[in-house]
Amino acid sequence: MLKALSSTNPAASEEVILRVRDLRTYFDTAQGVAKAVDGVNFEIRAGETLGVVGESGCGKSVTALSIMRLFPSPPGRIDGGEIWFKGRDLTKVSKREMRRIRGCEICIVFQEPMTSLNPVYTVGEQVVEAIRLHQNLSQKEAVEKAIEMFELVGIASPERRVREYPHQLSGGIRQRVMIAMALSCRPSLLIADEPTTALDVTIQAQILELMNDLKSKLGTAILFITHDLGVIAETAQQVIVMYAGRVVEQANATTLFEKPLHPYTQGLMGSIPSEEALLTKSRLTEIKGVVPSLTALPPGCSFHPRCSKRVGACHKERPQLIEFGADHRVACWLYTEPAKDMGRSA
Amino acid sequence: MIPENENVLLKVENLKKYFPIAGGIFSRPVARVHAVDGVSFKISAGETLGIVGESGCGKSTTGRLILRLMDPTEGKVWFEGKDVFSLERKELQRLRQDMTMIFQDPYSSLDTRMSVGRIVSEPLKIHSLTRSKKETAERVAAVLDRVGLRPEHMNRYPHQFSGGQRQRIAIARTLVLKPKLIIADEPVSALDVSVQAQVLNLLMELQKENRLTYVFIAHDLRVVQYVSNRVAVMYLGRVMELARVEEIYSQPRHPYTVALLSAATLPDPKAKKRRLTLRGDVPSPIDLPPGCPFHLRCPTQSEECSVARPEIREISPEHFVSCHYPVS
Repeated sequence: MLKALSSTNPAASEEVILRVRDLRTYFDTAQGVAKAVDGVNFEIRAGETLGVVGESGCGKSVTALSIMRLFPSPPGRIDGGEIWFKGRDLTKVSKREMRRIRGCEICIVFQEPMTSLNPVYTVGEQVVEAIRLHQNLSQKEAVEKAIEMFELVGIASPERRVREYPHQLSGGIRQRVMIAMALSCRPSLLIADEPTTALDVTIQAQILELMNDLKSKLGTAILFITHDLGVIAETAQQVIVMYAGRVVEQANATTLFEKPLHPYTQGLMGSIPSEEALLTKSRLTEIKGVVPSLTALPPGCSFHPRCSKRVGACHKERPQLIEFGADHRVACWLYTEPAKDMGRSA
Repeated sequence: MIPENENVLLKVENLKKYFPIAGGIFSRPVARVHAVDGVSFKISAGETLGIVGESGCGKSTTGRLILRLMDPTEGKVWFEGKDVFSLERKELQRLRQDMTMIFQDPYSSLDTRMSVGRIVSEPLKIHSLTRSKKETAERVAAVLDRVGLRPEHMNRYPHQFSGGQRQRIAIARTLVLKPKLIIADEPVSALDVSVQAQVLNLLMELQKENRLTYVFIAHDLRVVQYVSNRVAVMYLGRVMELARVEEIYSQPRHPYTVALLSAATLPDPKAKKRRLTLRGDVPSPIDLPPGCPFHLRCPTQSEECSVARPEIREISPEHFVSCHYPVS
C-alpha cells in the first residue's frame, strides 16, 4: 500500500505514514481513571517532522508510548481509537507483530541517553544487538554496520568509539549513539521524546542539525515531542499543541507562531519573553492557575477554568477540532459560530 | 580592570575553586577539577547580574562560593566591604540574613518533613529575628501572601504542591529575612514555561519593591536576557565576557558568546538559522591544557591561543573580554 520512498526527494511525498484517530489511553489509579490521552487526532507524512508541544502532564509522552505500545499495562490501557501505520491498526496487532515493528519500522529516542543505555555493555554491543534483532546479519556484518551508523551520526573515530562504555562518553555523543541505534533499521517513523532537553545549548544545536540532516538523507518522518517552543520553531513543519490529554490546536509551524488561536497556545507564546518584553522588561503573560488533575478533568473544555476568554459554552461541552483557515485547526468555542450566539459571559 | 561602580554591594576577586580527584592505591590527589578558575566581578546594589554558561562552566560553584557554602582555593569575596572568607561564625551567620539563595530543584530544596509554615519560619528562628510566636506567624503569613500562597498552605507539606508553588515557597523562605542580595541558581529551569513566567514576574516585582540585588545563574539565554542588567558568560571556570545585557546580545565579542547565541533556538520559524555550530564537546575541567580554555573548539585558531591564557580586559567601556582575538 505504501510506495517505496525516494531517497533523493523524500519531502515531496505526501504519503501519510501514521494516522492517529481519537486515541484514548487511560490509566486506572487509586484516585480514579487518569485520562492521559483523551481523544487525540493527528497525521504524519513521510519526510515530515510533526512537533508535539505541551507542558508536563499534557499527554505527549503517553501518546508516543501508546504508538509504541510501551506504556505499563496494567494500569494503562487503550480505551479507544486507532493508530494506523502502513495499513495496520497498531492498537489491534499481535504482541509479536508489535515487537517486529517496534525498533525496526518505528523507533524512539528518549530524553536521557544515560538511562536508555546499559552501563555494563559497550555502546557498540548495544547497537549491534539492536541491528541483529531485526536484520539478518552476522556478528561481523552487524559490527560493520554499527560503525557505519556511528559515522552517519557524526561520531568521530567510530571504530574506537564502538568499544567504549556509556560512562566514557559525553551526553551529546550518547544521544548520537541512541539516534544511530534508532536509525540502524531505516525506520519509516522516528519518535523523539525530548531528545535535546538534557543537553547543553551548543550540543543541542548539533543534535538538531544532525536530525534535520538525517531526515533529508533518509526520508524518515519524525514525531518530535518537546516543551520547548524554540526547538519546535526550528525543527517542525507541522505542530500540534496538547493540553490535559487533548489536542487544542494544530497548524503548520509558521502559521502557529504568527497567529496562535487557542488561548492556551497564546498563553504559552506569551510566557516566552518577546523582543519587546526584552527591551522594556514588561511583565510576561501569565496563565493563571495550574494544570488540572487527569483524574478530575473539568467538564467541557479542560482549559476553561484558566481561560481569560471563556464564553458560555466552554464549561458545558467539549469543543472539537475545527478547520480555521488553511492548514490550521483549533478546538475552542471562540471560533465556532454557535458560541458567538451564546454570548460572551463566562 | 573592573569598573568602579557606585554603591558596590558585592565584589568578587580572582575566585578559584579546585576539587582534588583521588586516585591510585593511596588515594592521593592525581588531578584537579578546575571548577572555578579565576573569576572577578562587581555588582551594584539593585542590579541583576546574569551568569550564563553550559554545564561544567562553574556558575553554580561560583554562586555557592559567594555565600561561603564552601571555602575557596584562592580569591576573595567582599559583601558591603566585609571580607566574607575571614568572617567569624557569628558574623557569617549575620551575613546569611543579607545574602540568601534560591536553588534550582524545587523538589529537593525543601524539607519534605516540614510543613510550609515551619520551612518559612525556620530562618526567622535561626536568626532570632522575632520576639513572639505571634510575630513569627504574622511575618510568615505576610510573605506567603506576597508570593501568592494562602494562609491555609502553611499547614501543608511540600509534596502537596506543584513545582511552581514549591519555588514560591523557596522564594518566601529567602524573602522572610528581608535580604539585600539573592543568588538564584537556575530558579526556573525545572519549571514548565507558563509557570516560569509566573515565577519570573514575581522575582521582578519583588526586586522593585524591596530593592533587591540578584545574581541570576541560568543556562537559558532568553530568560537571562530578560532579567539581567549585565551578563557574565562563563566557560570552564572562567569569565569569557562581561558586559551590559544589550551589548552582549547584540555585539558579542568573544567567539564562545557568538557561538552560544547562534546555537540558541528562537521561537520564530522564519528566523534565519545562521548557525555557527561548534565542533566537539565541552571538554572536562580536569587539568586544563595551557592557553585559552576555549581554543580547541574556537573557529579562530592561532598559536598564541594554545600557549598563552588571555587575561580579561576592557575593550570598550564596561565591556570585558578574555580573548586574544575578539570578534569585531
